[in-house]
Amino acid sequence: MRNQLLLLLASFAFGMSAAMAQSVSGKVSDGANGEGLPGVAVVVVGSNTGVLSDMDGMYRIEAATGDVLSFSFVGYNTVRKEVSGTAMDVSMESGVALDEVVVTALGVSREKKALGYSVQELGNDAFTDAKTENVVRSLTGKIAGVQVTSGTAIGSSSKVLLRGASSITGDNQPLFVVDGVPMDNADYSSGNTQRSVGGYDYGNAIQDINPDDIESVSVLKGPAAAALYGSRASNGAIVITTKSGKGYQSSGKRGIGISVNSGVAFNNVYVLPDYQNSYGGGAGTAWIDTIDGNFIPDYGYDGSWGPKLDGTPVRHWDSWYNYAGDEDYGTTRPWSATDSDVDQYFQTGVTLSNNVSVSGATDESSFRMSYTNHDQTGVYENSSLDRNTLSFSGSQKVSEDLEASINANYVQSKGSGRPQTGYGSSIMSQFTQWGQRQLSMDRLRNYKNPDGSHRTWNRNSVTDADPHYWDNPFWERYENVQNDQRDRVYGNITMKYKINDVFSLMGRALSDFYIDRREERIAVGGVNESSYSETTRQLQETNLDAYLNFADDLSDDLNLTGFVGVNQRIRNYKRLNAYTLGGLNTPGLYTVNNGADGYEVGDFTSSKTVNSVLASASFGYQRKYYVDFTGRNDWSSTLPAENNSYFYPSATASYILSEDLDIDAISFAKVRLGWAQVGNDTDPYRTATTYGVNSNFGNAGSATVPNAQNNPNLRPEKTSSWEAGLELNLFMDKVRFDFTYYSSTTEDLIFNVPVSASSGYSSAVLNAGKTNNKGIELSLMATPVQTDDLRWDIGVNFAKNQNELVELADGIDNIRYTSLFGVTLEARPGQPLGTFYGFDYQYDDAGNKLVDDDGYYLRSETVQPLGTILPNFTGGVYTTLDYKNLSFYALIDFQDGGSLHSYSNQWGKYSGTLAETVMDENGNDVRDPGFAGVVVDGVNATTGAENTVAINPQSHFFYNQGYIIHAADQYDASFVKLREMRLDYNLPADVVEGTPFSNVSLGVFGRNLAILHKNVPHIDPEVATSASNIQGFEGGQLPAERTIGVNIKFGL
Amino acid sequence: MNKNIFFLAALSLAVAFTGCTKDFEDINTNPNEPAAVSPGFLLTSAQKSIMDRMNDSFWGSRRGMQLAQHWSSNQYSNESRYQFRTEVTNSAWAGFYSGPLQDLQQIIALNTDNPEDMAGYGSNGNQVAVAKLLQAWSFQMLTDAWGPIPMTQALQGVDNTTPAYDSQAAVYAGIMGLINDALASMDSGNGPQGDQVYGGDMGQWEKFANTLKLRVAMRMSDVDAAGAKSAGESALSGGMIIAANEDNAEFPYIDAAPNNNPVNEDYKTRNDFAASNTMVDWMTALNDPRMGVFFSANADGNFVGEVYGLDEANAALTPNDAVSQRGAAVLAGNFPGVFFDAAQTHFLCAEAAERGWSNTPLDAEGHYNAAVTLSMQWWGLTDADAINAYLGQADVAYSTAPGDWKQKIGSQKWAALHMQGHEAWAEVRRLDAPALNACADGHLGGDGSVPSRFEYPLDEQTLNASGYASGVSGLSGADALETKLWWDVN
Repeated sequence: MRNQLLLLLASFAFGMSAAMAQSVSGKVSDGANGEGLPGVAVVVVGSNTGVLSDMDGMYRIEAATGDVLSFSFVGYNTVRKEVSGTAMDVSMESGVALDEVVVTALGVSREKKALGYSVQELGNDAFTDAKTENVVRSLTGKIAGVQVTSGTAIGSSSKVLLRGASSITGDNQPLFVVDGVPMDNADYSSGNTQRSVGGYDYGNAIQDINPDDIESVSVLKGPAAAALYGSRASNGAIVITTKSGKGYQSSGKRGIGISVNSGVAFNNVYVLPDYQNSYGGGAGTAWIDTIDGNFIPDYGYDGSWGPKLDGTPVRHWDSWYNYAGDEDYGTTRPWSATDSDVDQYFQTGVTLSNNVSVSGATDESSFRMSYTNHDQTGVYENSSLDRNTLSFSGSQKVSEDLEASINANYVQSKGSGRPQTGYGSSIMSQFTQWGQRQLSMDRLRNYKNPDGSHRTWNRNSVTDADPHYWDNPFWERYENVQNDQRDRVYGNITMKYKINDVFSLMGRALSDFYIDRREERIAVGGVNESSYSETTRQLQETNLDAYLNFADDLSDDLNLTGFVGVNQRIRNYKRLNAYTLGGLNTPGLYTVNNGADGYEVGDFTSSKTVNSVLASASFGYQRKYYVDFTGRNDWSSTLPAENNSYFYPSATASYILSEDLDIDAISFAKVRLGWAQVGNDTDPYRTATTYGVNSNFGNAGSATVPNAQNNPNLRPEKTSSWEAGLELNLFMDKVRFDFTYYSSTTEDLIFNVPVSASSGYSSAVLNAGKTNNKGIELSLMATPVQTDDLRWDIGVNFAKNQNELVELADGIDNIRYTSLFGVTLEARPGQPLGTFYGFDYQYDDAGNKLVDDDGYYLRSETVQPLGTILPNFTGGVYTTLDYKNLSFYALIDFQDGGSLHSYSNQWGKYSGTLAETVMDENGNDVRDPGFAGVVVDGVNATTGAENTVAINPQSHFFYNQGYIIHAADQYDASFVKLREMRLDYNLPADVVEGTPFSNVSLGVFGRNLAILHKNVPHIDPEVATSASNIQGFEGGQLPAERTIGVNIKFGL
Repeated sequence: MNKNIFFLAALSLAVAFTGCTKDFEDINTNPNEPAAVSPGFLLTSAQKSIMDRMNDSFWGSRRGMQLAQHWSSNQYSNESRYQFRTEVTNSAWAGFYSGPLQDLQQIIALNTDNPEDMAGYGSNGNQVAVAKLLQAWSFQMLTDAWGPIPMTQALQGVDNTTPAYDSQAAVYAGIMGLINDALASMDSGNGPQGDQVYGGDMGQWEKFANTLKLRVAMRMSDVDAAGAKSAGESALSGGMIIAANEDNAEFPYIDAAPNNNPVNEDYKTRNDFAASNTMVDWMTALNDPRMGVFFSANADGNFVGEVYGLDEANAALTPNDAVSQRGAAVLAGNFPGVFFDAAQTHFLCAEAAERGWSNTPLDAEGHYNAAVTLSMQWWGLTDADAINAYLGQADVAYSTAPGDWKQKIGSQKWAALHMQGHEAWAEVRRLDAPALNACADGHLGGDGSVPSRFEYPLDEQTLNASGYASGVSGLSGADALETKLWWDVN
């Protein structure tokens, strides 16, 4: 593609000619190696005269003394030079990403300056120098307007939003495309996992993409950039190009090359709640019993309002196991603060990552093979993630005009022992939300008796050793082990046929296929009924494409490129799940038919086909004006026959302002404007009414009218958007500035609208509602220092998105995403999508909280909006410092605003585990019997006087907190994080020379190094337990992990 | 020329893609769910989901059983102190309307719209009759929990997503209408398939219809004495009532998941409830032989109730083995779900006799004794001497037991309704007997008295604001726990 563009440029420039008196000639060379640069456009500024340099970089042009010649070439800084004689040699420096060629929709490489919309691109380094197991995380902070939220545990989800969310209940994530293959990014997490109540976070499927194979990633924000991918790209597209032999070939290399990238990284938890260490487990400070003169604490209570940890000898939980050799049996130990606290539960996770690739090229063919192993152990004992990726790409010129290429990838990803998430089941729930503070992790690590029975701190009573609410945290690690495996194959076969200089034909078959299998186990002897379940999902998506491409000069000034094409997309999905009923018959046997009451089996199949016809035409005029038009018509099987066809167009334009400006300070300026529409269909089977089938009752069949009422009259959704942008380079490109304003409106949103259940349905599938997103994106990059040895770059990305639910269909007041403990996440007209509602405090006119005569806060009478999950703005600041062979990089990213509801805070206060439940801000022990109690800030509702009534701390931490007054545990999610730092060293060429290596580099990196600022206590404000739209609920958050590692890259 | 050929090729490809739409629409035919099912499947589902809700942990146990003070909390005691979770209110409301009520509505619609197609599943008239009776039963439970509820405008799907609420008087009239329609609709054809309660025996359903009518009439007897009397007498006139335990309308849970009683399922992993001291003390005072079936003895071999309405810390500080837990019979997987039992019928007849209604088979005392006897027998206590000894006690015998007939009948009925918490709560509100305890550690919601109703679901405030407003305006006070229902006038 790059070559074609050069040709295009060449023909364009050669077309220009004029007669001048004086002939100026010389050589244009690459400043780095002195070699001649072919195809450089040499233009007399302010005239129509221009030529191209020849194969050796030589040029000859007619120009008068005093004229200014401009030398420009893709990937190099433009040089301007005044004519002072007849011979003029010019050296050009390969430059900033200005005239760069970027990958756009459908993998079309375009000159970035010709685009009427915003595209940002990242190279391989962004993904391999500080590797994470999920490529999405590497986008964090690096591109304006990209918001990434990630879970913390091994292999967990990452959600990425470009320019905010437009759909209420649909998928708002951009489409991921790898070498033309639209990749499935399903999450398959349960509703409970999404709202942070429980379950495993299996992550989203896009993490199968191997960072080592990435050549570049283009982020196409907004529908204009992605109109050609169809509906799924209405939230933008992330277009990934993988490395190939072609790249090796076009860099001029022949023969075989080998490159290796190896790394090791260490993970540690670094955000743990601030616990109290003064009072132990129990509902009150009295000992629950005295046996044989020994005090007995309340083992069954999962809170820490118990007796003061003052060293009194007591029978701890582990003194009741009477097995041979058990030294603790019958003994007492002091009731003291633990010497082995929660931090000791976690270990150092180790990730080994190794990639070897072999590339080869001849003049006619090229290939690349790559193998990557990612072997990770988690910070949770007995947890692991092991991923192996094989990829192959090859291309062969069958004849002068015909080229065939193939790209195939096989990924096997195996997880085991993932930690549970959420309020009810995360390990942090029993440490923070419902814990006993005196527990020793070292002692808990002995979780099983010699006979296999459970040793639990949370026994029902002295006489009843069954766990009351919680399993021993290590029992969970080693007995309730889940396993999962995904085997995925994706790739494409492409044929390109060059018909003539104008037309070429391309046909492709693209496929993405995986089988995803999950096994969950609950062992006999724990608090939950033992069980075993298996779920297998199989997904196949096939895309068949054919394009007729054309590129032609319509006149000397006007050039046209474009294509017409067809696409058929077929998606088939199957799920089979089975689980035991009534517990397990034989302990330790994890098969479905080991269910005490048998088993249940469910299956689900869905199919979808979309046929499309599409076309694009791009006009360039005088290398200054560019206009693009696209159009696409889809026929989707998921819509009613009469509404299943929809057309959507786009038009974008750009103008290279600097071509007409002669201001020295401005080295490049461009304005761009784009407008696009994207239609969208829906999920299969939402148009006809069917019955839900229940389990049989005995032998009797059972079926029910579904809770969601389907709709035979659905229409496609339509997103209309426009954007305007300005790119400006100042002071010889030392300062680069890119600004975008956009507005995007989605109408006829299809969603399953919750309706009053009194109607007989709890929801109805409707075209109901309209949303708007508007905002700005800004990226600013500067190179304050640039010498031969030293280059310092600093950049800022900034984005602000405003989002609003503009209207809802008649009769519908709001859309509820979910709710938990009375806090709901909703969308109401006039409010941003994803607004929390719950009870607030009552306030007087001066904004003081109102307190009743008993000293408790008064709660609002009705639910109030408590904030939105959407941040005010997001961004990142990064810097690169290159000194000779050393390179340093640092990234800080930030989010301002956004709201979250924290159940760790809410219940951690309720159950007395957190520091503030003992020590108030003045350093008083509020639980001390000598202390009066808690006096809350506020004014008496009847007298208006400052509240002076002291209340018992336990009551305060119940009645005045988020369980009663939801606003009390609603927090600002702002943060500033030191996200990434790395230091790389490239061995100097003279050192490498003479060794078998062609290049060697060493690096040290760190990710998630520190939270520099946050406003929510005890937890990391970055909350994600799924990749769904339901965000902002935090419960039992697994602690954030810091990664530090080293890697070595070398080539042979 | 060359160009044109390839243009044509591409175009014909395009036509080929989009032209082959012959089977295109079939792609969207759901292969997972049927477009038509036996109405018997809907009936089974409706019967089971009603009873699943009535016996579940949140609607059945935390609310019904605790509001009746049959049970107390072992821990997490907020509901017993009248602080109810909004999500449970939402899901119970939705669970009935978009669950069984809609399934039953669909049975009625199918038999009305396509009678020939449905006739093979039981006569159209009988299918409709059973569906309407179960709707009537459910609407009574709902209106007695909240007061005004949507009825005439309910269950219409997208045609009306914001149904207005009917006043409770109108709901009661509607329930009577459903029962009368059902009686009129019954014919000599086959009973409905999928009937897990009576196996399609329409004679039994006729008894159910009349007895339910008697209960509905009795509930409104304090506010509409004449209407209640006339309806009650008509219900009793044919003698077709649930008079013996064999006639009971019970849902026959099976002792294996997922068809076991929800109480049993819940108990597998949690033991949140113990015997309430209200009930244990009452039974102890009367030497009630049902004590050992309802509850189990504590570690010391005694029957001790957990004090009702403790705060969480105090509830947690009471060791589970220090108080009586629920009995093995109650916790059994196959413990049936009860729609209606003969003991209730006889208590209703006893009250009808006291109110001077005609057509009761026996006098008040006769029905009272029959009711207590049937309750004992149903719980497996078949020793006639023991039952007679119990009935012979001065505090139990109808002639000598303390209080007026309301107190005598109300107290014994309350005990006999163990495991039918919501009905027990309704009858305690109506008869004001027995006197229940105040929450030991104070109440968290309402005014401290036993709640008269629940607050409406928050979902209705947000999803059906106009309907909600019409409901609140039909209440005698605020949308609060202490606002008395229409029939609760004494």
